[in-house]
Amino acid sequence: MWDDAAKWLNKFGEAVLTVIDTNGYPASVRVSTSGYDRASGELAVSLPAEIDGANGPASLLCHSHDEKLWSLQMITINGTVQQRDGAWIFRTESFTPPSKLAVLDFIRNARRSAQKYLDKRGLPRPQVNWAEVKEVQRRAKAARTAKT
Amino acid sequence: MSTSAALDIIDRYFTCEFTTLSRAGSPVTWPVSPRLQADGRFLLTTSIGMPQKAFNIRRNPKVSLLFSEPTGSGVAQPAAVLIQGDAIAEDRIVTDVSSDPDLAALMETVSKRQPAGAFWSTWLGKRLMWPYYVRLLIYVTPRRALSWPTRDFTRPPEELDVTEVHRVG
Repeated sequence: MWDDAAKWLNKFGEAVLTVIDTNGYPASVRVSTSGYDRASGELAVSLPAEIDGANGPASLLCHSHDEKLWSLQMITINGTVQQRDGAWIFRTESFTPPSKLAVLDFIRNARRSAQKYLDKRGLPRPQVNWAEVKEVQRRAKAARTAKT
Repeated sequence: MSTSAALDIIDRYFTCEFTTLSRAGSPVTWPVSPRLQADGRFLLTTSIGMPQKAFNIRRNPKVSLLFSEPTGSGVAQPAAVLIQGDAIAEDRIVTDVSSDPDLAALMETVSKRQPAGAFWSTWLGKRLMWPYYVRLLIYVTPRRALSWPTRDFTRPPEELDVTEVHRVG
């Protein structure tokens, strides 16, 4: 039932598990994804007692980037965590595999959301100070060059 | 783990996993690039094209940042640091990266680490993704800090003095 989720988790090897603690704050740790059960969508996870996690909503995030902060990849699995017999179990509730057109979807959704954000507030599209963007990039490039 | 070692991790890791809480109370986590300021707050930004982080924070300020991804950082002995805190998401829309020194420093760091990101300010990049540089600022005030000196999350974390978590120098 959770074959796609299992495939993606296996690809990353580890995931960021986020739970809610007893004070209502989110808290994250890295967990191994190797024990994920594709039939039940369950994963036994290690959650240190100091996190003080609560039974309830949770998520698994896998993401990666290369040495130049590019080739970005990420997936998210939503679910719950529950303590059973002293052990923590993550249980999958939903997973949508990334689309092959993820970049185009990202751009399309971002443009739509941005316009909606402005429209709702009655704001015109603001002008970006491109000269300053270029200046920041120039300084960054100079720092990279000086480092090598 | 010393606070200075934790600060080194925070400074050198390219991203952290930033979590806000949805309307339903579920955690929503994104990789982001933050900057720790001298006043102890973390600065993050999000495009108005991806405003969900800001919406979540305006409903519920409780957030966390996990620094656990060492790729590209050059850190020889990877560790991990978890920050839990309270966030505010400004209403102000920022389109001038030089309008705040910390914002300028953050953008310069990201630009240094991500050379291909310059695409978003090219002729094509501006047309495809005009909201990229139209941004909201998010500030996180840490309330608790934990560290894993060897990045072994099966080990108990060490508590850090949160008042010592601030940019030095």
